[in-house]
Amino acid sequence: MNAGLYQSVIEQSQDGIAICDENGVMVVWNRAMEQITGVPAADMLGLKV
Amino acid sequence: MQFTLLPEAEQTPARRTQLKTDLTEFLRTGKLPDANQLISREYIHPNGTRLYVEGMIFPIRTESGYMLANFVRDISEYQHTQMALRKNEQVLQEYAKQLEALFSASLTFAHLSEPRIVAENVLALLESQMGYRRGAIVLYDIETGKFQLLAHARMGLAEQEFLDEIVKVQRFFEMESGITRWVALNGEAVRLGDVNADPRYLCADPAIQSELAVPLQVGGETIGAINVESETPDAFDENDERLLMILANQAAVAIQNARLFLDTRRRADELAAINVLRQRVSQTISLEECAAVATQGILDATRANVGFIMLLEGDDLVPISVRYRDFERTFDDLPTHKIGQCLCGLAVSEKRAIYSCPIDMDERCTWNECKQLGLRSAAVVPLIRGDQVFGIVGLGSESEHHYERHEEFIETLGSVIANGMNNALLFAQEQQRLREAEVLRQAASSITARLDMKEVLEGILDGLAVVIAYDSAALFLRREGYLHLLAGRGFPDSTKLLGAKFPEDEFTNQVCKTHRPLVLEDALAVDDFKRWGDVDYIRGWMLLPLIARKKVIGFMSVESQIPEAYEETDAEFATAFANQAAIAVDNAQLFEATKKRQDDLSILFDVSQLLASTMQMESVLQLIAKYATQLRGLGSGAIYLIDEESLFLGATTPPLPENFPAELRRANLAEHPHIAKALSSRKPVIIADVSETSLSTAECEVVELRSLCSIIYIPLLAGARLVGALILASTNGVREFLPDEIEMYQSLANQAALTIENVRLYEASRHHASELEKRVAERTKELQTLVNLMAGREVRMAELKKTIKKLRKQLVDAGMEPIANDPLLEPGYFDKKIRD
Repeated sequence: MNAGLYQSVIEQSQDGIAICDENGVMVVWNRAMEQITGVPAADMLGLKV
Repeated sequence: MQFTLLPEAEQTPARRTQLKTDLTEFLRTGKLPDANQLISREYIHPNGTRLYVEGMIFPIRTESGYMLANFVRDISEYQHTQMALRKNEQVLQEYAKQLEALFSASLTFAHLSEPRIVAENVLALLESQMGYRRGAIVLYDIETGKFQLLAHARMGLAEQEFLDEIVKVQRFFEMESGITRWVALNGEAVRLGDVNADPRYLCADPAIQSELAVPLQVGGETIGAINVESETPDAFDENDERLLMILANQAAVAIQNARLFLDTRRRADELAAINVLRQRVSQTISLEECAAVATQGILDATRANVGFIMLLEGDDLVPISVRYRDFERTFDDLPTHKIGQCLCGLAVSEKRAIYSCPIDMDERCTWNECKQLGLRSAAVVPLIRGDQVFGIVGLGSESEHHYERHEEFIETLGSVIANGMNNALLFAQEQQRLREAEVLRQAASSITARLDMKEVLEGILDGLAVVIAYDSAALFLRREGYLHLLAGRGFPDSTKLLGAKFPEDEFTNQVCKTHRPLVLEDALAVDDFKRWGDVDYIRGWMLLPLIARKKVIGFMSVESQIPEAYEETDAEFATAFANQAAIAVDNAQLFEATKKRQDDLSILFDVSQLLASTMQMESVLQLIAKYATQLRGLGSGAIYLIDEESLFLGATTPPLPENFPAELRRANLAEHPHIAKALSSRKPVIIADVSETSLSTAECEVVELRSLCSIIYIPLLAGARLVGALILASTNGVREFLPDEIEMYQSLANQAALTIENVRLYEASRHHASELEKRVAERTKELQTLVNLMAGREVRMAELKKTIKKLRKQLVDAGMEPIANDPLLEPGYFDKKIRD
């Protein structure tokens, strides 16, 4: 499975998915996460937790 | 982000620091306390929406360490559904609890037969299942408009406090206000969160803040209400109302069933009581026994304290039986009541049952003996036979008892008693009739077997004494417009009265007119009452008609020294005897008349025989005068023979002197107008009393000479021919000539006239015969000469014999005896003569 497919699955998921990398930087904040939390991905991606 | 998802209360700086530390550690080790666990949280969305989310944190191992992955799911919809389900489950559980309560209640109620116990169970259920500690159940009677507190919650009160509370609440229901009362009257539930805000609320306890009341309804009819109260405002909601409504419906049905059961049982008890009373009453035969049994029976059936029976006598109600039950007091005197007065009298005049409660407030109760006895309630039922009231049965109670609520029962008991009493009355009357019939039979037997008037009259007075008590009594017979006192008893001096005659008066006229007895309660008080003789003692008096063959032939007066000694019933009874007596008197009169007639005929026969035995005129006249005078015991008699206008005194009784001059026997008819009248009218003429009659001089002389008092002149008629007159007279006082006596005298006179006529004819024919004999003798002599001269001339002789026979026949026809041994008729006489 290539990266694009993962990206698509994550984005289409009904569950909110958020992933931080080893450095604590938010790298995934999908649409469902945006809807559930009311926080846009733009505000979260790249943010270091 | 993790911090943001935390509940607001947990979003503290320390928590933030902790989270940061935990996260840093996680990125290095892949471990976190809550990692790999599904966690649910409430979350307030930035748009303000409360969300329910669940999520999980888990590590993703990389070559350089660990990445943190977090997924979150919105479970708000699911959570809301779960919450709704839980709430529904709670509601269902509540209903289940209510249903269980109702089920257990209905099971309990079904076994209860007392409305009060049903109500108490309902309140107990309300407290145990619903926690309502204050409550009451009230019944409403739509007919009386009254409320009855059926049950009240105990509220942990002591017995006396509880009873006081009951009295207080009952009093509140009698007021014209209150929520429960309103609900019972209007049939609608009322739920008040604040009782003081509702003007209908009647404050019985200031602590009460809220109230719920629902109607008890059966078949669309409101029979009462249940109320519950609370010291908490708004203690009851719709669910409470709904539950109480359901419970009230169950309770209403149970209470109604219990009431119907009680009613049915009461009806059964009443029917049993009625049957018992009917049996007990029907086993009695006397009036007194029946009244006593009936009075006790109605006390047992109604549990009243006093029972009594009165019977109607005229306008009076006379007590005949009084009974008490569980009652220490008694009537000092239960007086005779009057129709239309007091409750008993009203029951008679209004012909319906009268009920009174409380009796001391009842203005109709005017005689007060019931009030004085301490009775608080009473019922009086008229005893009715056909459509006539003949008495009353009354009952009273020392407690306030509304007998009218059991009127059907009470009046049925009255009806049973009326039937029993009526039967007893009829039986008593029948017995009385039998007794009276026996008395009458005994009394009548002493008179009907007799025919002699004197014995009959004495027998009547004996019999009357058996029939009714009297101090004196008299028997009068009506004759010639007068009352003849023929028999009497008990008078101070009967001899003065017996045989006397009295004029009829208004009393006898009334009795004659009505053919009914007349009763005077007190003769002393009656101005027109006539006292014959020394009879001042007479007070109670009655006059009975003696009726025979539909005619009043006389009277019987019955007298007593006691006022009001006789009543109408006595008169009726005595009249029955008087009717028997009248028949006996009538029979005795008929017998007397018949006997007299027989005697008269016998005398007439004897006189005829005597008269036939002689043909001598003077003897005949003397016989007639003697027997005619003696026939009815008269003192004087005379026979005058008539010869044109002169009279010849033929004979008298007592007889005239032998040498009475013949010229004195002669009289001029004109000087004896009464004889003349009898002869001209050809009918008897009577002088009832010479002292009161105008007489001629000649008549006066005879009257004085012979001391005549009453005279009868009878014409002597031989067929159509006047022969003379028979004159008969009393010499020892005025007397009456009765019709049968006159008839008998006339018969005798006719017989005498024929005899006189026969004697006259006899004398005339004898004279004629004597002449004929003389001529026959002469002729015979001539014939003998001829025979002598013309012997052998048989033909002439035969003719002569024929002539002689003819003459002899004439003699016989004239009534004369033929000459015995007539030689002329001897066989062969003429032959011998001729031969000689």
